[in-house]
Amino acid sequence: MPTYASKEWLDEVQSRLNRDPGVESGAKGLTADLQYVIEAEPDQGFPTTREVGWRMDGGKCVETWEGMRAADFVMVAPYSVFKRVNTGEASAADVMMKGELQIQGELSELMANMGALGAMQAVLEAMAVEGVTEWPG
Amino acid sequence: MARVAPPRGERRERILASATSLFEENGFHGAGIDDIAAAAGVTGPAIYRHFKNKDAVLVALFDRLAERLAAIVATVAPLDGRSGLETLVRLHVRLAFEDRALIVVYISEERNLPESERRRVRRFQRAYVEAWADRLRPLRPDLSDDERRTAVHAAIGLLNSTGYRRQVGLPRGQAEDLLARMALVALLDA
Repeated sequence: MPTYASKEWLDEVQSRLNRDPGVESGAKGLTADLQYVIEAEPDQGFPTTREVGWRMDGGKCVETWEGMRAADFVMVAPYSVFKRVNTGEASAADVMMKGELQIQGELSELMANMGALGAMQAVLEAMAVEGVTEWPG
Repeated sequence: MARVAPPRGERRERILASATSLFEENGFHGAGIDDIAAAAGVTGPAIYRHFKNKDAVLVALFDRLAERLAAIVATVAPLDGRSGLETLVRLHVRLAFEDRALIVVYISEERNLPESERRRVRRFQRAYVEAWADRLRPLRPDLSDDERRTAVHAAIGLLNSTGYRRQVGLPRGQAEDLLARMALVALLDA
């Protein structure tokens, strides 16, 4: 079982994004690098900050990476916040509204691609629901 | 799309909160970087570890509000019809009360943004209005696109107007409800 935000997890994310018809149609017009900055929370079993990202192009995830790149959208939050969002316990909108998750980038583009982001989020949630992701802590 | 690097930090948040208060009270030109630092409880030089200059602080405040407005649009994305529009209005009015000072700064200080940032903010504003107008289209097919946008500007203006009064004279829940109902009338019945 791949650990959250590991290379193996990223591979699984890429594979699932590329099999998902909702992502394919929803993200058709999106060409963007998305970067997660998952901040360390040692007391939650996540001792060091991890940075991972992926590139969407024409409805497909064409590349993933570990580490930091200059990206179109950078999402920054503590591990426990990402966990709540990626398991479906909280919506990304809720945590954004509370300032728990920050998104940097051209937010006008983000708003125009809510469908794509929702479809991607659904894939990550499904991985959690199906027990595919191992969560540190 | 423009590439960005991440922000962060508790101290950074304190600086932004102080800047919001000071810009609201004294205006952008009436608050110096040292005033912001002092109000945030940090030294003048420490502020430069988070922000290149005072312009960058102002830009961060605009980004902060844009994040929250984008979150509203994300929240209503799965909702259809009238319930989607009502939720949009009610979330915006809640934000107008919760981030009252930030909205005042957003409205008053746009002219002080660097030109490239002002263009970015305006792109965002247009996209936000368009997100509202898209919600309104199926509910008001009798209006032209320009009429829908005009109605949306008016409704958002009504909701934001509360920012200029620290005390509205009504319990907050009641005031939120009243403004939301008024905005919905403007959008749906005018």
